[in-house]
Amino acid sequence: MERKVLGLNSIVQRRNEVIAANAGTDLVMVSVESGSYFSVSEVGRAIWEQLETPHTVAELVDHLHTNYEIDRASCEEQTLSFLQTLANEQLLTISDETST
Amino acid sequence: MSTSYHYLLCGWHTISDIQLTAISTVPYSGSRADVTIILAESSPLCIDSGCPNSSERSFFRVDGVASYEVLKGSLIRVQPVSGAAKKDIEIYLLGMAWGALCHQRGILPLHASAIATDTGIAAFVGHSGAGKSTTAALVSFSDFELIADDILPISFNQTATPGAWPYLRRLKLKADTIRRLALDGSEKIGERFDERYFVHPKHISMDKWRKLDRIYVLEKDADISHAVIDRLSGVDAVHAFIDHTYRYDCVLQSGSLAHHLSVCSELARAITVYRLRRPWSLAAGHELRSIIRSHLMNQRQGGRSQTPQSGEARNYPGPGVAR
Repeated sequence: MERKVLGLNSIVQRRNEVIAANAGTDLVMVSVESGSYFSVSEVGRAIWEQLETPHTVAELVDHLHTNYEIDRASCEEQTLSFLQTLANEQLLTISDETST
Repeated sequence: MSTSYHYLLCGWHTISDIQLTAISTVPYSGSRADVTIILAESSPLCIDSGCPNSSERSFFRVDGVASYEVLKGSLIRVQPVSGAAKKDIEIYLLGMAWGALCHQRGILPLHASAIATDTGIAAFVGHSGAGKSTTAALVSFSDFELIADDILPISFNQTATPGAWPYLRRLKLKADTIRRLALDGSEKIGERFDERYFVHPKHISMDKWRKLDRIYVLEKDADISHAVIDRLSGVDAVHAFIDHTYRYDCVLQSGSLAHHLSVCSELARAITVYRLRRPWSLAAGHELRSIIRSHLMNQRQGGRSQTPQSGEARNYPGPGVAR
């Protein structure tokens, strides 16, 4: 399967086929397509909530950098890694990506 | 004219062509049945195995026993195989077929054993071999009334409080467990279940809906020497309900994953979830019974998870995805 590599200019949005429900401070998600379950906590949850509408990765980093005490470089690295994991699990739609 | 048998199962008025030995009949009330069980062999129509399963239809066949079709949460059609044992037909009717019926009626059947305490129902879940029935046997023969074994159908009342009706108040145990616990009054389950017997506890619950107070997720742990009970929260609590849903295949086939997830997350909010880890060596029951009894007496109220506060910049714990 072609793997889409994300960059800061990639536009990402969560897929409608993924259903989510609150679990305390966490979020439990299930892919209706695959029946697989996932869970994210606090920061991941904040990102997921932003993904209701399309955003560039850079915009997501800006949001996190504003709301959390973290240097921008680390925020970029971790956010890209997180979003790449979601993408690999088919939980996101991506445009303007770089394909490998 | 064929005989019809009347029962009250999960609070539903059930009329059946098949006599069910697991429960007592009730007088005919004259009201319309909530659930009807039909012997398909007496119908001119055969069960159609070709139609796809959906949110309103579930079909399955047990080789050498019968075919079962569950329709719209109100009808179960049973087509026995010639020569099949009645006990075996009933086992799958009240198990797999009834589980599918619960899903169609919007009830979450939890794969659990359960007892009644003074704060509500305490349920025991766990994977095969974890000791659900054994645990329920330990406490229902001495201290608490048995609510259910194998399936606990969870519903919400008018105030959105989760709870359950009793369901088949008998325990399914292995012969060596019955011997080890010195239990009386066992009957063989069926022709296909070697070494397993039904045991009827002395204390069984009355036929009424009770609120669900807590569940215990049972696990065996080779790395501990004493039983340990800790509280699960967040996704772990939600997964306790997801992982132990009876007939989860019905959720997938009916396309009701969103509803199922919503119910499980609501239950995790409303119900206190504990994990009970016990060493492999804790085979006999007295210590385990004492631990559970003590925990039930001392932990009479659960808490609620705290929600995060918004506002100023917070420490950044980093995102992550758990699968």
